[in-house]
Amino acid sequence: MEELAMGTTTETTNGQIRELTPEEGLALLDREAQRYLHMSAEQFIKAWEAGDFDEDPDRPDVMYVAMLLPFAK
Amino acid sequence: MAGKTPPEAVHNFLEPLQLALSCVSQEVLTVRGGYYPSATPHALTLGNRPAILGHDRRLALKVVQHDRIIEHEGARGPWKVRTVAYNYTVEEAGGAGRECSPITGIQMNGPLSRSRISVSIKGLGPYEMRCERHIAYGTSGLRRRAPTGDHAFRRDPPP
Repeated sequence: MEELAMGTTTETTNGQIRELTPEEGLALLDREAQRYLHMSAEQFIKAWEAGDFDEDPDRPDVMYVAMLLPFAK
Repeated sequence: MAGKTPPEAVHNFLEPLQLALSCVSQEVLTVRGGYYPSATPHALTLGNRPAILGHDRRLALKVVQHDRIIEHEGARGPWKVRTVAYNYTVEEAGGAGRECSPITGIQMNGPLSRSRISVSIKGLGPYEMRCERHIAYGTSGLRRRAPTGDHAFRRDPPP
């Protein structure tokens, strides 16, 4: 186990691969949703589940952020 | 990659993947989902997104991949990790996040569902890129089949 700068604990495999905690996973989704879509993770999850992106689901930025959803679950 | 237990299968899957990524980036894999079968896919990405590539720092790599731990009949196993979705993207570093576009040398092999496209990228300098378009989406949480891009290239030797 190691301590990250953000104050949460994460596991390390092989001394390299990091296993995120649920809080870190949600923070990751939030950062990327803010960066690419200018919305919070919560806003993105709501919009995704409401089908707000269905008209153009193959937008690269939407697809990229959507693929990060498992990090927040 | 297979293993006698789910954690062993995950370890045998992640370790060579990290080694392969280390050819082009010093970033480490960041994963979520644990080491046992789950109703939702296990996910991995790079520690810093996008990861800056090469000593000239002109390109950046984004990686997101979904995997499942499944039981597998065969000589090895009985557990293995199967990739159900991935999105590897190379884009201009520090810019508007524009993805690189294939310019010349397109060559497609294999079925349309998994085609390999060899490309040359304008302004790519010492890099040479292979691009794989992959349309294969299972039950990984997305509601539509998703075309994703896969790009691989070599890292310049350090200066």
